[in-house]
Amino acid sequence: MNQKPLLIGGLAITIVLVIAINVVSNMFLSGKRIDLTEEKLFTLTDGTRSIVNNLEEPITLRFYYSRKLAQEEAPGIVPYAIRVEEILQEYAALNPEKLRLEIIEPESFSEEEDEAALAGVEGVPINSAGDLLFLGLHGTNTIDDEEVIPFFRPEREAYLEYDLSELVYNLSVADKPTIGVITELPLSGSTDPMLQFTNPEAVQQPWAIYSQLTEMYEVREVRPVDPIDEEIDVLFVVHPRDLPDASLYHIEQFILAGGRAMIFVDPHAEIEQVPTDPNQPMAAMFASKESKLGKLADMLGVNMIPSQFVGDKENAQRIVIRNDRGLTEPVNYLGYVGLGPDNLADDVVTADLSSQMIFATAGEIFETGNADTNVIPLVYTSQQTDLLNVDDIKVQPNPAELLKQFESEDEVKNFAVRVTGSATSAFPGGLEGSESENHLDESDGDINVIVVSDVDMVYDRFWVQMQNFFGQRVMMQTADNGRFMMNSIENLTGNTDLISIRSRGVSTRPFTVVNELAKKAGEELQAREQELEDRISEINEELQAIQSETQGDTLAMTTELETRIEEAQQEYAEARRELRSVRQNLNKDVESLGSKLRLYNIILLPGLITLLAFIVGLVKAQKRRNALR
Amino acid sequence: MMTWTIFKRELSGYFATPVAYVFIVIFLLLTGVFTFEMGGFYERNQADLQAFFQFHPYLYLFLIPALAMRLWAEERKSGTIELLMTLPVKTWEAVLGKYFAALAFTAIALMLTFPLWFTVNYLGDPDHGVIIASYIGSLLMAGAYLAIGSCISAMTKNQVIAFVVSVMVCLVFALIGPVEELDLVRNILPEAGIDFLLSISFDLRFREIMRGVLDIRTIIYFVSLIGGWLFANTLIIEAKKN
Repeated sequence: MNQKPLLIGGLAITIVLVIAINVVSNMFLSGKRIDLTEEKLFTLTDGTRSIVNNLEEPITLRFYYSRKLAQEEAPGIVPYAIRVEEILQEYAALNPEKLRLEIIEPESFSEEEDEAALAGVEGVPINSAGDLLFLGLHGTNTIDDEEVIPFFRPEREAYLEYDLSELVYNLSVADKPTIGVITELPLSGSTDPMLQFTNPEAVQQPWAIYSQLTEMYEVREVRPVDPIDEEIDVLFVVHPRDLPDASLYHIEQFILAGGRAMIFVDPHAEIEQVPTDPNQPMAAMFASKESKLGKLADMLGVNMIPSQFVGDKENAQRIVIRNDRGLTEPVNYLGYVGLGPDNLADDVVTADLSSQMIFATAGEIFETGNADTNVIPLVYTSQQTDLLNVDDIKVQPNPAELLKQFESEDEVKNFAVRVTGSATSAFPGGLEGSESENHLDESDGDINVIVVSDVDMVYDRFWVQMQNFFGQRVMMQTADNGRFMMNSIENLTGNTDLISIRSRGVSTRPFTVVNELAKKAGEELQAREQELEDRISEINEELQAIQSETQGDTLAMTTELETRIEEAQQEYAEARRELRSVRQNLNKDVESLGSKLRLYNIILLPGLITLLAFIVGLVKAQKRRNALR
Repeated sequence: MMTWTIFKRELSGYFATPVAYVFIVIFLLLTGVFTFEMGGFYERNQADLQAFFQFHPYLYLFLIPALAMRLWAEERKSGTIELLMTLPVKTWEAVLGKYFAALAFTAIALMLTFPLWFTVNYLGDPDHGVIIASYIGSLLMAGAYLAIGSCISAMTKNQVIAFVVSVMVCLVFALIGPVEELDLVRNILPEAGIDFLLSISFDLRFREIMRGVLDIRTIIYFVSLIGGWLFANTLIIEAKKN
């Protein structure tokens, strides 16, 4: 029959056609996609397009990717590497004249590998032979600036576009932004040798945040008694104590002219070291460590409640203190507040903060209502808050006392806000004696200022430990304070394009229901733990009391002591048992929800369908029987 | 159009026998068990359906050939294919009719997994676009498996052989991702060859879709594959007709 060759021919053509279609589509249709994700994670944003299209001078991006090695030894990373490569090609396609993309596959022990290492691209040893896997980017511009992404970590996929656009942006801008620091605190390290004697604890090294800022930006110390230098892009104002009107005026004018600022004020900055007067040694303890916004509040439309700090019962941090009996005990200190993702706004600068920020005796920021500015809360407390007097904690804070005094106002309070919109000068017409040449009564466009009601959160102690690692100072971050500050500065220096990109990419969507259950259980556990721990320490004290009491009377001591010890031991064992069972039941609610859901999903529908099948079967059988009659 | 008539007849035929219900129940049980127990859906604490969708390429591997094996092999065995061919039906109409009926049936089974979508929506705030894309991708992939199974079932009279061979062929498409296979092959093929093989993998392609993106190239891949196999299917039936 002539069918066979025809059949084989037909099949062969089919195979060839299918392959051909795919090869062609692969070549010409790269980049065409329907992005159904909620945040359009896989489509380049307008911000990126703007940054790339506005490149004035050409830049070169070298993409180092050990393709074969990845396919062999780390196939899990291949899809992400492909995504990175494709997105880079999309960048290049936006502006082929000004953005050159080179794709390099460094062979082991080759020149290219050395080149990559020199460029700062990390090679990760991937097998026993010591081959290095590269997946990084090195960018340069015409004036030999360099920017590097050492390794594209898949965990950072949500920020891939931001990281790339930031890199391109940094290469496109010739100068690093300049941060002007206004502060009397020793942010840049202490230069006063006398401080060593009056206050040995005074910081000699620059604060960690200062080091971080100098790494990324030009940092200058600014004395606002003079008009602010035009070269300053962002002001970093920390603890403005008693600034004269002239200083406030210059800061205000800087902001109105379009300069960005991040301002930290505080009703009580623990970190401030008040110089002690040998004649009045106690005076220092009662001195005010408060900074205020002063007239800036009129311009900004926000202010901080003076002389009072916010106690947040829900987020109070546990500290260890020595109680009256000389024993150490853990206690919730209302003044130290830890705020995590639940207390952060959905803003660029708070988006990827997943741990918590620590605030120490922070104040409450409120809207004065006297200005037309927009105030956006960035970081806020729980509802269990109360305003407490700073005087109560100046000398020796008594956490237990504070807890007793605490009466919840049932109100969320702001620790950090962003102020935008148009603003009006607090010095209408200018200030006598200051240069009022270019005085602005109204802001030139929108202002953008971040105000934080705590100065202590800037200081190392509350968010970072500096450790010595082979002679290098390494930062171990224990809280998100630093990240928040860097995000804020980055945001305030960046152009609006970069900011618009950063606001995407919420990478985790947790089970909020489960988290709520777990949180409630955790709170319960904490409360019970505290109760039981109190009881246990009480028992211990009792035993000690008995011992000291019956020291003299040996006979009485033995009997009494024995009985009491027995009782106490029983109580102790009981308390510990209870504690254990509370801990075990911790997950009870969460687990039972899980079981219910399993039942609902796995059994319910199949069960219903089986039932349906039976019914249909029965109905049919019935029909058949009826038909037969 | 005759395709539509055949489609209707086939689809209603599915529900006339207990086979359909058994299939759906097994499908739902398996997806449920895999999602919760092996995928750790609840433990992951992530409001997405990755734990659910990630198993589809492997569940379909066995379930779809089971569906496809009776498309043609049975008819050839019982001789009803001759009957079908005497009717004024073009071969391709019959192929498409049967295929779309099977696909529709699969779609129904897939849609019945909706309680999971409700569940994840109750537990958190999932990205619905990603879930929709994943469902579309899953159906597309099922369609591809189905086309392969349909074609193979046309090649033999025996359903069991059809099933086994389908599974084996589908296995190739599903598992070409893992590099263990490539180790042997890589030394023979040039780099372009490896890229080609990787691009065939249903698992890898589907994972791309599971991120929430329908890449035109992937859609073309599945559609062209389906078209190719169904065309081959038609050719084979034609050839066996005579």
